[in-house]
Amino acid sequence: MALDKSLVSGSMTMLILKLISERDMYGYEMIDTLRQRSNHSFELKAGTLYPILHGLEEKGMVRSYDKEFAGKTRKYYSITSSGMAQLEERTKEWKEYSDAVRGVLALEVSVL
Amino acid sequence: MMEEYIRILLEQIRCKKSHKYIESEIRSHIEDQIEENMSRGMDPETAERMAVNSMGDPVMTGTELDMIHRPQMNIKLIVMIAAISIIGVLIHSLMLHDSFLQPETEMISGHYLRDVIIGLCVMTGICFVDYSVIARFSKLIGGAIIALKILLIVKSLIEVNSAVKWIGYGGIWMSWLLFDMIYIPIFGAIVYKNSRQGRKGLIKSFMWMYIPVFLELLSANMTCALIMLISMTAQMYLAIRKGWFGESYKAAITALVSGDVATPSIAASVVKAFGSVFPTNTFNLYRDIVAGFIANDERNYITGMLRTINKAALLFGDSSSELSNSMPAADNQYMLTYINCHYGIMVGIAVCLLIGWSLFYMFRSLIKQNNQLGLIVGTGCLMIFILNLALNILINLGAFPIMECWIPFISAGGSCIVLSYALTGILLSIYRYKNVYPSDVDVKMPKLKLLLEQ
Repeated sequence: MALDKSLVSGSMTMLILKLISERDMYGYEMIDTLRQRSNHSFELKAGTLYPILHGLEEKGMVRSYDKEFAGKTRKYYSITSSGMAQLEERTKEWKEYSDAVRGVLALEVSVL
Repeated sequence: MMEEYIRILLEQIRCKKSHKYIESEIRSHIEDQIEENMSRGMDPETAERMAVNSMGDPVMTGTELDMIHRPQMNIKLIVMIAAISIIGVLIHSLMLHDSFLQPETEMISGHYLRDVIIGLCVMTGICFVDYSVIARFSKLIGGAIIALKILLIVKSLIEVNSAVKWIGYGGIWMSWLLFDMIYIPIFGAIVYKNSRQGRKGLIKSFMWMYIPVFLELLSANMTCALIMLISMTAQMYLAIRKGWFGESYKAAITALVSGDVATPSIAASVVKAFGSVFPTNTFNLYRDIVAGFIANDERNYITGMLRTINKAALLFGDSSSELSNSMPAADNQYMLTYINCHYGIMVGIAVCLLIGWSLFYMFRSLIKQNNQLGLIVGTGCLMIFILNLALNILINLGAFPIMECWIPFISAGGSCIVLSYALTGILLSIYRYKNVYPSDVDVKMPKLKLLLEQ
């Protein structure tokens, strides 16, 4: 299922932070995990992911380090305490927003 | 296809220093995708084309990355340093018009403005020179400083009245303090180079740490030895905490504490046995320093005098001209007492708070640093500032025996001033490249052959 791009991009930072809050990951791994978990709804392009990741690192929300895995050196990302705080805030905002949307949709159904 | 994508993407990023690290990450991503595509049965060419297509627009990605990976100037810190410099120039200008002035103070304060200008030039130069480039040559620079120190000690054994604390030729002489203190950030880079070498790296780092401290203790350069020991211990602690040597945390910390205790003990034993061989008689110098800790010893009269002057100081304004006559020369060590005595305690506190605030700001900027090399080098710079300021305040309050230390940026003397600005230059350089380099930066020294070819 392909979703509206603008709907996804706004919450992408939250989704990336959520992924690395569970365990440290490298870029390709994030895209792959996101794709699998969203049942192929989120086909995030690497060209979108890396500017977000590097921007989060600049703001101190994530930290990166090099680690060897399967014979290749990969750049892993881990979440910082300020990243965790940001994730909590974004998740709270998202829940409020989705509850509001659900409420409106439920109203429409009951009117119909 | 992949090469073309990477070329276009990197063309958008103006800061060339970051290219290598961005390229490595993007290339690794595309290669992973190609592998995945091929495992699904695609031929290599199709797998590469599909992988590149899944990356998106290289121009857009490159432009966005360019906005992030740019050298940045720490304007806030520059403004703070400018304010401190102005205050320093103001205080030293007023000192020059002071009737209490002694010839040596006139000599030092008279050159203050010149030294600040030299310091600012050094700071600007270092700030623009990438600190990771200096780090590449850290072992060479560190080795040269140790070799020079050994030469100075040998020279002092041969020649009577040989200077062990000054180095120079002709009319230009520099305090050895400058080399000792610069060794600390250089040591940070050496530790970084030794990381990931396990126990071997840990032992090598200990050698680079304790040998110069031992040499300083041997030449009775106690303040430098103390500041070097504490600063480098902090850097080693940081490296061990971050698991750079892969050793067990407890074993490495035990080795560090043991080394911190053993080095001064061995140095003291050597001095006790052979100290009188030195023309400067290191043993006597040791005895005087120990005497400094005994309150009623007659050699401790300066500490008593500083206490009396500070007790008589007013909150604001000049407290007494009589006392100032008995004050030791207002050079490096006693600037704070001079300020307290002539302008009031509140002015002294304000100056210390301003410098303390700048140091706190430097610390806050540093801990946000993702680059590990920057973190350990910057920790060394900051430790030098903090220890000198703290020791100087304690000495001026008469709570610590007299040692050679200085208030960053304010204490006069060419070497202290240039050092303050040079260390700030390193911190500015670390901040400048914080978004250019990733956490791990390549600091391998270029091969000689490669250098010659260039």
